[in-house]
Amino acid sequence: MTRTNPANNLFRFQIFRPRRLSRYYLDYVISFGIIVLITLLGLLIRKHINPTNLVMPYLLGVVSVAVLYGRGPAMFASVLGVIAFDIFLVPPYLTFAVEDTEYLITFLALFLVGIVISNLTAEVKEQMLEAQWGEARVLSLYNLSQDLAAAYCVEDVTKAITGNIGNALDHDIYLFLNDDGDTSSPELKVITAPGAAPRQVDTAVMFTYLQELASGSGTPHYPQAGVINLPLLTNSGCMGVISLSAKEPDDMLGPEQLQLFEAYANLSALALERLSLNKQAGQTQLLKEKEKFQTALLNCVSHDLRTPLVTITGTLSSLNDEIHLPDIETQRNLVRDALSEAERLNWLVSNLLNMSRLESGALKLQLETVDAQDLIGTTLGQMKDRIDCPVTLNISEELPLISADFVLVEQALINILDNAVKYSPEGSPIEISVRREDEWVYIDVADCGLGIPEDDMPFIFDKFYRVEGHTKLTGTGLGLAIAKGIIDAHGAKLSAMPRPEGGTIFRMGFPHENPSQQDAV
Amino acid sequence: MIPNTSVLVVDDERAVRRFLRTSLQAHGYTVYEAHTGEEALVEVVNRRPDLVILDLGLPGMSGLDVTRHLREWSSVPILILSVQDQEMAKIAALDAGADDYLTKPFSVGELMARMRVAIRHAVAPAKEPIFKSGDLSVDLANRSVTVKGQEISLTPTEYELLRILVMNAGKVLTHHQIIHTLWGATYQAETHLLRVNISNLRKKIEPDSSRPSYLVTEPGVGYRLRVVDDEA
Repeated sequence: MTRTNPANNLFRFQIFRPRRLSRYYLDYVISFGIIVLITLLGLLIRKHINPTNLVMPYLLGVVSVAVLYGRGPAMFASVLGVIAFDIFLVPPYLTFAVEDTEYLITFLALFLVGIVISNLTAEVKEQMLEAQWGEARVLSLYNLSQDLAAAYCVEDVTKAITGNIGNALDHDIYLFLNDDGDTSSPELKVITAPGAAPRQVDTAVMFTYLQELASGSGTPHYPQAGVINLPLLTNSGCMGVISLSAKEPDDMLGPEQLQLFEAYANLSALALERLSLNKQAGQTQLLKEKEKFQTALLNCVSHDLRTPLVTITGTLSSLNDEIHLPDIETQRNLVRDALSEAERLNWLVSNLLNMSRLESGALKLQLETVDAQDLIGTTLGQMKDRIDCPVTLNISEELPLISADFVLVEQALINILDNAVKYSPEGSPIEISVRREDEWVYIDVADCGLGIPEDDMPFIFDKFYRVEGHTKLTGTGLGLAIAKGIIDAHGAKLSAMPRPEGGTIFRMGFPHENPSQQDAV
Repeated sequence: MIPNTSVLVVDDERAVRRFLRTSLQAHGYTVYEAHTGEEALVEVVNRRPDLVILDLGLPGMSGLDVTRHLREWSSVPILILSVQDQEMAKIAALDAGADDYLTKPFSVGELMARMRVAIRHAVAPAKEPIFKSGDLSVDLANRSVTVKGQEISLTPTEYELLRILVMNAGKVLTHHQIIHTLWGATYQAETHLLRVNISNLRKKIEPDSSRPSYLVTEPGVGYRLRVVDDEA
């Protein structure tokens, strides 16, 4: 089945535009009244004025009726005017007979002028109405498309549709949507415009959805009065059904309004399709992210974990070589390096373990009172083989203790220091400062390294995120994410900011222990 | 070993460079270091090393790119360091002209053996006409192959295959390199023809063709004719 613009072929049959009969009668009654008024006026002044001049007020009346009520009442008024003029204003009065046959020409002229004027006026009026209608239609479509363009979720879209269309057509609008934009699903979800009477999915709606054909009033399918169901057709299938039901049983849509409804339906279908495509794109993105995550993890395991093994295996093989056993000095160097690499391996494995603990929420804190100075000293001791640059310590006196998991915070600090060393030129200094500020103890690690571009700042604590251009350096993008996870688990803060002189400052903030408790200790 | 042989170690990991430096110096090599591909190219020009040990997984300019660049103007032997999951890059680097490879982690003995082979090939490309490895002996001048002193007859393709391997004894040869030399560029995809000939050749020269001791398979990469020598 080829899909063309759905609106073109849904309503090929003619739907007559019914009008409310009460209104129809009223036009004629008022026209009648106008002629009566003119006749009464004529009766008052007929003695003073030549009857032929009294034709003018009638012409005025016909024109007024034509302007107000259109062609039908105007013609009615002109016929009525001729008769009234003849009976009441042309002697002999109260009879069709006329004494002067000249009046026949007056009658004819009045009649013809009335007809022509009423036609011309009515035509102008119709054109004007048409133009107004067209403008209103364009405006309402424009409003809908504006609202739809701004809508980014199903709720916004459905609100825009039901609100705009309901207002423009003065009908209740219902949307029957397939769940989650899955065009193959047979389940439909009802969305009702606010204030409209509730409706359920019925056979007519289901027919429209499955057959992708219009149903309801004026169609060959389920011609139920006051309801029209249109399928929301898109290139990716039927998104659901839009349904309109009359607020009062005798309200019907005219052909222009029907066309407008179809245009609305098309716009709505496009908007819903856009949402569903967006969603699909989002899911694809999610899948890609996951894939990236796995690749990064694999890369980490394959590269980072294997690198220390190069030194360890190499050293062991070298010591195992009976023929070419290196001299004792070399042996010592090899073993020392292998040991530090084994430590690094241990650190990497802990990092991976902590990562998965953080991911699964299984990280348990062993809180104890920790002296920040002790923490930094121990961390630097752990890292002495990896830090080959001068480290300046700037620790203020009389620091309060903090409550933390020593091992985990040490790990976080190692990750931050490791990051600082890695992204700094060899031998450039690192400054660690600890100070108290109000309720917080701040530990700053400042480096003179490459610095972090402003655009990357919000993402540096994301897993596997690596600053573009820094990828020349090996790394997995896990270290800072783990540090952040650990610090967050403490209810503490970790942030990064550019160092004014170049480089980056990483700031850890711990709420310090209650001073009264400290006094007790 | 030629006295004062110099080696350029290219690896982004400081620990690996340090380990290689210590080990190589202990074996009497002069060691230079580079931690990026770009630096490696400069160092090869400046230092003129006798061998380059090149990590395949360099960040930025990869080991493969470095190999291609070097091969445009230099014939310095290149020994690739790779990890298990870099098969494709490893083969590409070998095809691009790298001499051999080692998978991390590796033993120092293996590294030394590979380095010796690579340097020997570079220094003395013209082979002495008789190749000996254990019981296998190949006389390239007389086109005769003997196993345990017994002359064996080979088909022309088998002999040609053996000759290529002998010329590159101790070095890995990729499938692509062997096929290209044997059958020319048009037979790119005929790996199965190569496998059949390898199998036949093994039946004739190996004591136990299911556990080859001379013509060994380098999984996923190609073949190597092992030199069972006494100097080790």
